[in-house]
Amino acid sequence: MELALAGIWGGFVEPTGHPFPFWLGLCIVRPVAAELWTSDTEQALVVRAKAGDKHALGLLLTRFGPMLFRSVLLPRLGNTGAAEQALGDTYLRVVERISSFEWQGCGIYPWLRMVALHVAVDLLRARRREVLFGPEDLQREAEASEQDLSDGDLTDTLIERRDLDAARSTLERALEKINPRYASAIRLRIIEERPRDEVAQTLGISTATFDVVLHRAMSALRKAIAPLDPLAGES
Amino acid sequence: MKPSDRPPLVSTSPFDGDDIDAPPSEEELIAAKSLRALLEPGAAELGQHPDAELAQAVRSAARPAALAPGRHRRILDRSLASRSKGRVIYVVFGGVASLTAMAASFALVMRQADAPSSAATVAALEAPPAMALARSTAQLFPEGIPVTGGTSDRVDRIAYARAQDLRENRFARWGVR
Repeated sequence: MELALAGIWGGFVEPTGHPFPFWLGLCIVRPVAAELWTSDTEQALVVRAKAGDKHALGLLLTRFGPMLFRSVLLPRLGNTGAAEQALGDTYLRVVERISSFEWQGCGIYPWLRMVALHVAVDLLRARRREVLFGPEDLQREAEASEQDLSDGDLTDTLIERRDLDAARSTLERALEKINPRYASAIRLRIIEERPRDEVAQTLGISTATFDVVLHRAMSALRKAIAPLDPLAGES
Repeated sequence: MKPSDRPPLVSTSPFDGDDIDAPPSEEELIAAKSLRALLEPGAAELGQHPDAELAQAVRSAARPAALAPGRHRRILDRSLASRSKGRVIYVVFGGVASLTAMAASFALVMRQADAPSSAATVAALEAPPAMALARSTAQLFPEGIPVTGGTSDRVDRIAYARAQDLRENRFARWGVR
């Protein structure tokens, strides 16, 4: 506990003197930050980050960045590398624009999420990938996210759950469009990552036939999500 | 070969997507084998294969993995460091530009001080040249100015005279008159 307090002190109580290595402080703060994090703490950090305090901004991004990655960027960009790149680009934009952020009572997460969605839209437009979300879907989400900025009832946890549910719903809608046998193959082998033999047995086919069924299932899914994205197939 | 491993019958026509039990084509068998290899445990991360990309997208939507703390730290460090780097670039660029400007002005002053003074320059510095002064346009019209008509001619005459004055003044200032 003593070390944890020292970390907090080094991390965001003494911003200018650097009496304690910042990143070491960050390492120690992480496990206890969830317990100590309050709206007042967050607002104080935002004020300092707006004033150019990099330590405060680092703490905010350390808290909310992983959430952005897991619930917003990775499900929508469909690829770890792309999601990491988007997270880095998001941070760069946040660093540039944090001074323009206005605290409205709902925390900084809705604003960070809005920035991340706009970054993701740009990335999707720049490079076509096999993903469930098209740039237009993300553009709509980004526009809708502006309403969250003034919704005082929303918490970051609620928004995170909503984002995760939205991604799963999009996937389920796409799976409902293909043959149920194909959908089962994808659910069991791709999503649940069950062994190939087991899935083949469940579907009542040979493993060799299952390989073909799974490949056809993926092709069918690709066709199913194409209408959701009018740009698919142009590149 | 076990019956379960026996490959399915091969079709020569492309799969149309409607009959899920249709025999696979050679291309489908190759693609299916490739996808199978990519999904095997221990296989490299799902790569550029179109099915593999889509499989990764499906997994990411259904069960997105958390970002490893170390990986996040590196991304965060890089983003925050790039800000400092930008500031350093600005400072260095500004400093170099300032030094260059100071050196240039110093060289200019030294050159002027060391340059041999020509008689014309000395004269120009000691006695300012006679310049044409602002004056009335009445002397341009000794015949008098009629009440009406001839406006364009008068404007042309004034413009010509003043342009000549300006040219003479410049020559005087440059010491070439």
